[in-house]
Amino acid sequence: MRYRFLLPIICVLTAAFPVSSAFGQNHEGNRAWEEIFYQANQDYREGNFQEAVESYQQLIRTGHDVPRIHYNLGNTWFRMNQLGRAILAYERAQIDMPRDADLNFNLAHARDQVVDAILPSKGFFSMAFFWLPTVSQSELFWCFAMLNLLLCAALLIRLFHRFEWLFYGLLLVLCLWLVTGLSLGMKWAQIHDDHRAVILQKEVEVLAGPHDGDTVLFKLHEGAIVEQERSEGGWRLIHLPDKKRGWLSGSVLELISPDFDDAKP
Amino acid sequence: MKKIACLLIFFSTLILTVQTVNAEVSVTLNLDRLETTLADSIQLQVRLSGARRSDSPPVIEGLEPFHVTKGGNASRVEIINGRYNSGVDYTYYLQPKKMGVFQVGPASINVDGKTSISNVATLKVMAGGDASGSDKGPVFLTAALGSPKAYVEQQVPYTLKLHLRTNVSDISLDLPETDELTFRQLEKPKEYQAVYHGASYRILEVSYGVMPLKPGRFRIPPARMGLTVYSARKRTPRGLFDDPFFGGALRTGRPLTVSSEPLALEVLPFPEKEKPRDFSGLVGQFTIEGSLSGSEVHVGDSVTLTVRLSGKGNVSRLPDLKMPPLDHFKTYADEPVFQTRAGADGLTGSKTMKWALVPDRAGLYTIFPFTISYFDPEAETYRTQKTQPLALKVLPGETQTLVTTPQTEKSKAPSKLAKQEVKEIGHDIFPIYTSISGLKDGGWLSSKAMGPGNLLCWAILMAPFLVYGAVFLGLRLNRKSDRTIYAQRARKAAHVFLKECRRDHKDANGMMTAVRDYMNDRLQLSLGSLTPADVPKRLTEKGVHPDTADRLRNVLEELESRIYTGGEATCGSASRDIPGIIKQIEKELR
Repeated sequence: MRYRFLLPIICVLTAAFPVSSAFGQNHEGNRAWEEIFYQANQDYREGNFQEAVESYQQLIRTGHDVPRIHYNLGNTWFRMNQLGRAILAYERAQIDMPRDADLNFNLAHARDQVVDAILPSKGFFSMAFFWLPTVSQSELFWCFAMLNLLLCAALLIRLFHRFEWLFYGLLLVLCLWLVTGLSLGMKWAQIHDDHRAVILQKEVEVLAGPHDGDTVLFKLHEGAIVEQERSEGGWRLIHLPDKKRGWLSGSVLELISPDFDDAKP
Repeated sequence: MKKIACLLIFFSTLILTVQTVNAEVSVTLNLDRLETTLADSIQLQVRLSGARRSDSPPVIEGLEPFHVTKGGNASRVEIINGRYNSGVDYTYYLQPKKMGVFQVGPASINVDGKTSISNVATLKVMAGGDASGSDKGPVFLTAALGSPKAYVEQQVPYTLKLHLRTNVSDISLDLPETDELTFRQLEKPKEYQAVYHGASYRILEVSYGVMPLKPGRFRIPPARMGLTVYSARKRTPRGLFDDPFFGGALRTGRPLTVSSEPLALEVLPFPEKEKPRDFSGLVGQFTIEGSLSGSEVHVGDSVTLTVRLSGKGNVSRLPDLKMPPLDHFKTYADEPVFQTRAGADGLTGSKTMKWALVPDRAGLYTIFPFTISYFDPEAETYRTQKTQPLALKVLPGETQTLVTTPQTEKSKAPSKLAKQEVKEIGHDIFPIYTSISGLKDGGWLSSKAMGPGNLLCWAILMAPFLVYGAVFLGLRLNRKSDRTIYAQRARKAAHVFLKECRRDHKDANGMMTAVRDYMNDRLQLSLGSLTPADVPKRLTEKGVHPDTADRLRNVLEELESRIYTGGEATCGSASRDIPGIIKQIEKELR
């Protein structure tokens, strides 16, 4: 009877068990994608870049949307002198592996070859949460989950013993929990509200309106990253960090986060 | 209180430290200039540092050729860059009695029974040639050369003195530089009082070093000084604007240019006789020193050879010495360090060269001397200085592999090998990933799937709080259930009592025990024994009518008398009365 209070915990764990066991099951059917991956790598090594691109894209379409495949795809585009598409693939890979040395080197190397000098704008939040570009969302999530666990463990211990050190430990964990939680929220907002797009053609003319005959405002070159405001009838309104704005045909650029790519043909 | 105590300890420590610093007593003797005339007075200052008082005034030797006037003394406290220093300055004015070169000092001062001795200064007293003759006016400029003859690139002192008997400002100087002569200021301008033509002047003195670049007879054109002169007004009866406060504003200045007299300088070429082959045009007095950072070194380790050239003269010509090839050594030259300083005695400087020597074979080696040749203008001869031969013992290395031998602490410090910047030759991207590890999609936990709509994420984040909530609820329920048990037992107490009474006939002792158990259960007590006197109090506290409580007490007293008076052991009428009273109590308790 003394441990009767454990009954609700057992009930919770029992309720959660089917969920975890369901996610613990191994997914079958990996063999096919592994073969495609090996074949794509082989094509890349042999210089059959077009075939390699198709294989990597097939993998991404079939659900293997992982950063390393985007990285390999970026390398392949780079070898095909498609600087814009290479940067696009590298940027997509960087979302999930922001500290990968090879990726950062290749991305920097590709950015060096972009004609347009466009400096990214730095707002208050990007300066306050300066560490966000160096961590991925999943890392932040697991960090937050661990702090969550620590916080609850400390609260649980305080139900039975009220040590003084535990109080200060609890405060510390609470502060970290808040910072990490805010960072996670910011990261999520960054990723799911990312309207950056990459110019894919060698040179494009940015027009004053969504019509071919409109005045040319300025020109952009392959690999330049712009912010898309909205799309309209196959045209996209974009702006640069220095507030230059204009319209571009939808086919000359692609959003880094494909969730918002509603104008994709 | 603790903080105050800490502060007191801190300041006490600070004061003790300061006193320790004070303990270093030193005395220096300074003259305001090194050359003067019979008509001038010189300021002599004896500077005591590290003590705020002395046992007696300073005793100064070498003052016989001078009339000495005391100028007073002043205490001084300095805190510079956190370093505390205090001392006393004793000032004297010297009036020369005769011409000549005199040694002034040393000065000795007794502080706490210990005697400190100062340096000695040399003063040259010349004839006061200008003491007679025509008056040159309130402002004039004089120039003087240290010597009318000099060798090529020898530094000759060139002194300009601006004599002032009135206020001036906006002074500018136009030096007589030519293609053959270069000027370099040696020290900061000095200001002092002197007598000229029987009148007292304020003198501004600037010293330069003149360096002739080629031999020949040269005329040094006059130096020119531009300034604004303020003429003293004739005194009128004191009015509002004669107040010194307005003086500066109402004075009228006039621009004036004064020139010094031209001078002649004969520049001699270097003598060809005994001219060393390695003579590079160095003129002055120089020394050369060589040293090794260690006399023993292991094969593969490095040792630093340092050669230092220093001296007075045209130091810019100090050569970069070349390290002669050494068999079985790799040599790595460091960047030479060149330092110059301009002072009253001319331009001095040094050049320090270092080489890291890495031997590749054991043995005893000698590093041959480095030599330097220069022309000494004072002795009018060439001189050659050389370093001592340096012996170096090379011991066998701990390992014979030079590259992989780890550097010891000893060898790390001096081994400044010539580093080379890594240059990029080509540019390319890094290769693709070929391993399938890390390529599996994270499913519900992938970055793309994460977000507020992902239930698994919420489950992971909420699970600890659910567990905490469950434990919290469990504890609350546990406490509540304990209270419920007691309540149930209280509710059932009468039923249990009556049931027992019906089941078996109890004796007096058993009936007393049954009533006690009923009371314990019903009133949630833990009594070990029950006396009839306790019963009314406890029952009335819980809301039972006093008559009912008294009835129960009477019955219990009867039972007690049966037990303790040796009467009948049976309950008698109590076995009939007590169930009725209990039922009544139950009604009243509800």
